[in-house]
Amino acid sequence: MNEENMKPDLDAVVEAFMMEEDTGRKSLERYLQLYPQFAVELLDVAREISAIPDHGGGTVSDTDERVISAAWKRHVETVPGGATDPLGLLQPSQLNQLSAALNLPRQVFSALRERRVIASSISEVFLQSLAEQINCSIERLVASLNESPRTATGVSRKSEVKPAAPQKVTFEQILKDAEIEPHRVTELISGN
Amino acid sequence: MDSIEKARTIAARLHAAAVSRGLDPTNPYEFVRAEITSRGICIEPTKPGAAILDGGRAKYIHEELLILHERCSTEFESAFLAAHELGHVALGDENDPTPSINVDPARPAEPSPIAEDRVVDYGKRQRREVQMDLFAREFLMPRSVVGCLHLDEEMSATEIATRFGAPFDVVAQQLLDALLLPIIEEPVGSPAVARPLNVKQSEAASHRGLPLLVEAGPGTGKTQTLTSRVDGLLAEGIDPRGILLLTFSNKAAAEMADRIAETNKDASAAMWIGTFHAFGLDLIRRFHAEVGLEKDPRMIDKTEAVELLEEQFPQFGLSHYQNVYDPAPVIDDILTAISRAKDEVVGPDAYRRLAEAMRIRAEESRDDELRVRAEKCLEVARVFDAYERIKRAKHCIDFGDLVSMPVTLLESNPAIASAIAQTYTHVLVDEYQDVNRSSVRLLKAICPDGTNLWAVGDAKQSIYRFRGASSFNMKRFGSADFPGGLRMPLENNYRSVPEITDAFSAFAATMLAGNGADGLTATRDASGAEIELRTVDQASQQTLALADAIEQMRAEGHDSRDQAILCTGNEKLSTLAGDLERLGIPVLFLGSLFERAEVKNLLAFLSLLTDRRAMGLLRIGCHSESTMTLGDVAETIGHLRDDNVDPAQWPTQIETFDKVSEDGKATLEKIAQILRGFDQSSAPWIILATVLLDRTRMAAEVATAGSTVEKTGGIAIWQFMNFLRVQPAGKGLPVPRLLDRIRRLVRLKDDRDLRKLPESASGLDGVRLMTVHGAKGLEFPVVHLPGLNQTSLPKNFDKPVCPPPDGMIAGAGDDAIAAARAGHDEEQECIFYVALSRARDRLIAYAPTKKANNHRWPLSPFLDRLGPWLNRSHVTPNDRVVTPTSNGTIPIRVTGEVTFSAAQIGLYEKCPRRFFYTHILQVGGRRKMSPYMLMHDAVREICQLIVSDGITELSNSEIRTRIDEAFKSNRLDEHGYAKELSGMAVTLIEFFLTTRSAGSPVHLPSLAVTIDGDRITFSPDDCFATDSGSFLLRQVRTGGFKSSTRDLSAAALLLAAYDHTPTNQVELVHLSDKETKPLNMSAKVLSTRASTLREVLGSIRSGEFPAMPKAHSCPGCPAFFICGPVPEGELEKSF
Repeated sequence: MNEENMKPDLDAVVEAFMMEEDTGRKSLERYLQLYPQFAVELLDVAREISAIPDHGGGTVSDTDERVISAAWKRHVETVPGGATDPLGLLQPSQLNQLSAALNLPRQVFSALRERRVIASSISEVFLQSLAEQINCSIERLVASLNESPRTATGVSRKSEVKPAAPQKVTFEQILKDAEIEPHRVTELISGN
Repeated sequence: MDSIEKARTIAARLHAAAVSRGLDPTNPYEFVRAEITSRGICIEPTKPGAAILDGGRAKYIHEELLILHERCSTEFESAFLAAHELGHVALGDENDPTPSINVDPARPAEPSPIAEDRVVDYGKRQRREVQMDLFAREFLMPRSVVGCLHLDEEMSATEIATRFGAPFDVVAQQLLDALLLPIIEEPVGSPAVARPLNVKQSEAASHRGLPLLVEAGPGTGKTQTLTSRVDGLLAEGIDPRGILLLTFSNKAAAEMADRIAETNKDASAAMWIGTFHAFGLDLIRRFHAEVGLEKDPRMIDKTEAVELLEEQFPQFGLSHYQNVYDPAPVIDDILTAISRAKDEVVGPDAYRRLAEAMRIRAEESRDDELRVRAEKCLEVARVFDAYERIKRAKHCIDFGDLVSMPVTLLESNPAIASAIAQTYTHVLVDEYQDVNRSSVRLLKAICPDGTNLWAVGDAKQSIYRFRGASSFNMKRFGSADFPGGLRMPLENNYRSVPEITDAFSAFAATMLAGNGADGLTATRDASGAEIELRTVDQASQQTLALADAIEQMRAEGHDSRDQAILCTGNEKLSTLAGDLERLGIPVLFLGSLFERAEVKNLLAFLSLLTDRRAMGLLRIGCHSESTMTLGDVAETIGHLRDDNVDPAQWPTQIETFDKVSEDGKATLEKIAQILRGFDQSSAPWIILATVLLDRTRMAAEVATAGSTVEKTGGIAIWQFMNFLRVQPAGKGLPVPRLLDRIRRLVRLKDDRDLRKLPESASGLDGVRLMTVHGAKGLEFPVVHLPGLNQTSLPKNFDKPVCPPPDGMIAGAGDDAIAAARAGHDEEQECIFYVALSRARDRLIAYAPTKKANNHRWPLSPFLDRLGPWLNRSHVTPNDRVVTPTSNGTIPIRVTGEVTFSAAQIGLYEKCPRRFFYTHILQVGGRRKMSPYMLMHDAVREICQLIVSDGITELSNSEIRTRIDEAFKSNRLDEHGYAKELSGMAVTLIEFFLTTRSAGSPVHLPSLAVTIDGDRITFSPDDCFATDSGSFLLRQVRTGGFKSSTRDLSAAALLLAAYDHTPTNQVELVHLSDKETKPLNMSAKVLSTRASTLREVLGSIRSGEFPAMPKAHSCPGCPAFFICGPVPEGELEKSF
C-alpha cells in the first residue's frame, strides 16, 4: 500500500484549497468530504479567507458565518467523532488493512467507528491489539468508543423513514451479526 | 426520460460491460460482487437484522467504501440487495447513509393509480429506493436480455427464472416491462436551452418575506420561476428540509423534484415536495395518535367506501335517499357530498347543524322546497356520521380526510401547529387556483402570518370545482387570507404564437374568472397561420375533417405525437379513438381499461376459474392459440349447465362432453393446461403472469406488434397487471373478489385514473387524445378541439344530486345551488381557456352545424368571443376507406318454433348482445346475491304464494311470520340488519296486498301471441276477473320502476293479453315505488310495435346481436367480461 496515498499532506491540502478559485461553501464541502481528517484546519482557513478584506475589520459576515457553521455541522454529523476520533480518521484502505490484520470483517470496524459498541463489552486483549493497529492509546480509543453513537444524517423529515439514534450493543452482538464462527466469537469475547 | 428510466439505462450498460469483461450473469451474486469490488468497494453479508443495518436490509457506507447487506435465503435475493446498493454507488448517493428498508425486486416502475398509491405516488426518498430497485433488477437481468430470451429463444418466464436463479415474479415483472412497454430512447437533439428569467420572473423568484401570489397565465414560465426560487433559497444556505413545495399532482411533484435535482440533488431529496394530500397523509402518519388513529391507517377508495356503507345501509332509515333494491349509486352520490363537505373542513356535526338551521328556516318561511332540501341534507348528515364511525372502527381514512384531518389537528393543537410552522420556513404552492378551502386552511396553519409563503396560480385556469377548488381563494389572497400579501403578474407568454395568444387573451377579457384581461404578450414571432374553425354538416363528418387536418398538419411537419385532440368529456373519447383508428390515424389513447379487448381477454381467463358455465370460453375460443368453434363452446356451456359442475372443475369433465367435437375437446384440454394448478384462491397477478409469459405467447405477440393500436394494447395489459398488484384485502376468494371489484370500479367511475397512460407510453407515436382536464399543464404544437357546439361547451348545469346545506361552502353565499350554478358557468369558460392555451403553433376547432335529425345545431357561443382572429370555413371532408366494424352478426341456424317471454324480448330491445348471451347461449344468471336481492326474492316468493292461495288480506303479524320463514330459508335472518330488511319487506308486501283488495282474483294460464309462427308469451303474476267478462292482468315487480309502459315488452304483453280477450286490461305493479301503472297503446302504436316485434324475431333468427353498451348497465351484465367477439362457426339452435 502506498503510504503517500494513505496520508495526504496537510499543507498540500490546505494550499490546494486556498488556490481554488472559489473558496465558498461548495468547495469547502468538497474538501471536507475528501479530507475529513483536516476538517479543523480547513475550516480555520475558510474562516480566515472569508474574513479577509471584503468584509473589512476581520469580522465574518452573517451569511458566511451561516455557511461555515452549516458546513461544520454537516461535517461533524458525517464523520464519526469529528477530527478527534482515532477510528474516524481511518481511510477505507486502512480499514482494509485493519480487517486483514485482525482477521475480522470490515463491518466490525464500521460498528466501532460508528460507536455502536458498548466499550465495556470489548475484551482488553482486543482493545489492546486494535489500539496498536491504529496507533493510539487504549484510553483515547475507549474514550472515543464511549461517546454517543452517531446518528444518521441527511434523513429527510418524511415519515416513511423513521430516523432513530442507533442503540449501543455488545461487541458479541456485532461479531455474531458479522457471521463470525461461534468459537471465534467466544475467543474474542473472552480475550483468549 | 425520467430519473427511473435513466437509472435503468445506466444499469443495463453496466450489465453489458460486465458481461463483456467475462462475468456470468447467471451467477447473480458473483456477478454483482465482482462489479462492486472492481470499484474498490468492499462487500460483506451480515446476519438479517444486524444492528449495523439500522433496521434496513442493506446499506452503503460511502466514507468507508463498504456495502453491507443481510444474507438472504437465496443467492439472487442477496445479489439483489447488493445490486440495489450498487445503484446508490453508481448514481452517486454519497451523502445519504440511510439504510435500504423496503427493497422489492418485483416492483413496477410506476405505482398503480388507485387507492393509497394514487395519493402518495412514490415519495421522494421512496422514489430513490424505487429507482435503485429498478436499477438492481436491470443490472441483474436487463429488459433487453430477458426480452430476447423470451422472444428469440422462446424461453418462458419460469425457464428464465431458473437460469438466473431468480424468483418467478421478478422475472415476470421484468418481462412485462420488456415486452409490453415501449422502449424509451434517449431524447435526440439538444435539450431545451434554459432561458434566463425575465425581469418579472426574477423579481417574483427573488421576492422574500411578505406572502406573494404570482399570477402566472399560460406559458409564462411558471415552473422555471418556481424552481429558480428554490435554487435561490438553497444558494442562500436555507436548509432544504425547511422548504415545503406543494403541487397539484404527483406528476408535477416528480417533475419539480427532478428539475431541482439537476442542480441540487441532495437538496431535492431533502425538501418536502408533493401534493397537499400526500403532505396531509404524512402529517396523519406522524401524528396518528393525536388524530385518534392507529399507526399507519389504511386508505380506502370510493369503491371500498361504497361497499362499507352498503352493508349498513338498511339501518340508516332514509326516506329521500332510500333505495331498497340497489343502494350503491345513491351511496356514491352521498359520498360525493361528504367529500365536498371535507373540502370545506365540515364534519358530520357541523353538517347536521347547517341542515337543522335550514330546516328551521324552511319551517319559519313555510318553504317546502327548502324543507325537502334540508331533510335531504339531514339524511346525508346521518350517513356522514355513520361513515366516519365505520372508518374509524376499521382504522381507515379516505381521500377527503387527508387534508381535513390535519387541518382540524393543527387548528386545535397550537403546539403541533407551531412545531410544523417552525419546520417549514419557506412554503411554495403551485396551481393556487386549484386549492380548496381545506388546503388554504392547512396553509394558514403552516404559515400563520404568511411570511415566505409563495404561491403561483391563474384564476382563469381553475377547472377543478368538483374537488372544491374555487376562484374565491384566489380573490381572498392578500386580504382575508394572508393579509398584506402581494400579487405579481407574469406577462410574457413564451408558448404560443401571437395568433393563438391574442385569441385566448381576447376570450380571457370576457371571462367571469379573474379580473378582466389576462394581460399576456406573446414573445414568439407570428407564424402566419390563423386559428381556425372548421364546420361540417354532420357529426359523423367531424371525425373525417379531423383526420384530414391531422394529415395536413403532418404534411406541414408536425408528427402525430406533436398533435393533440382535446375533448371536454371522457364519453366521446373512446368512440373518437375507435373511429380515427379505423381511418388509419394512429392515436395514443387508453380509454376504459377494463373494457379494452386485451384486458377482457385476460379477465375471461380469470372468469373461467369462478364461473360454473365457463362462459369465458366464448372469448378465449377466439384466440389463435386456443381456437374453438362457436358450436363447440355452446355445447360445452350446455353440458356444464346441465351437469352443474363446480367452478373450475370443467376440465375433469371434458371426456363426458359428447356433443363437443374432438378438436374442441383437444382445445379444451389445452385451455385447461393453461390454467392448471390455479383456482379461485390463487393470486390473480400470478395467474395472469403465468398465462401471459409461461403458457401462451400472448405477451410475445404484443412485443412484436408494429402498430400504435397494438402497442397501446400492450400498455393496457401492463397497466392492468400493475392494477392487480394492489388489491385491498377483503372477504371472499381473490379471483371472484377481484372481478366483483372491477365491476364496482367501472360502475362508480372510480377507474378514471387507470385511464391515464403510464409515463412509459409517452414515447409512442400517435395523436394524443385526452380531456381538457388531462391536458392540464401540458402543451402541444398542434391542438384540435372538436365538438364546439352549444350544449357541449358550455355544458348545461346539472344540479348536484345531494346539494350541500346552505352556508357550508365558504364564500358561496347562502344559496348553495345558485353558487354551484355560478361556479359551473365560470368553470366552463376556464375549460375553454385551458384548451386554447395548450396550443403552441396551430389551433383548429371543429363543429357540426346540424344534428342527426337535420335540425340546426348552434355553435358554441364561446367562439364569438375569440376576437377577430378566428378563420371560419365550412369543409367537406375527403372520402376515406373505413375499416368496417363488426356489426354483431353471429351465424346462427334456428330450427323449429321460437318462443320467448315478453320480458326476454324486452332484453333484446335493450341490448341484443346481452339477449344472445342470456337467452340463446343461456349463460346469464345472477353473479352474486346481495342482502337486498335476497330480501326481494323472499318478497317475490311470498307474493307468489299469496296469489296461488288466493289471499287478499293478511294481518301484519301474519306477514311477519311469512317473512321470517322466508328469511330463514335463504339465511337472511343471520344478516346484521335482518330487522331493517324485514321492515322493508313488510312494506312491500303490504302494498302488494292493497293492490289485491278490490276485484276478484282468478287463475289464468299463460297467454301468448303468435307472430309468423313464433310465439311471445306472457304469464301474468296476478289476475282478476272484471265485470265485463274480461280480465285485469298484472305484471308485478318488487323493485323500482325500470320498465317502460311504451317499450316492446309492454307491447308484447298487450298483444298477448288482447289475443286472449280483446277487452283485457294490463297493469304494471312496482312494489318499491308503490305504484300501479296501466298499459295502454293506441291501435296505431300497437300495430307499429307488432311489426317491430316481427322484425326482432326475424333479427334473432338471422343472428343480429349487436352490443349496445351503456356505462351504467354494462358493469352489471353477466357477460361484462366476455362481451365482444365470439368464436367462428355456425350455431345451431332449437328452442
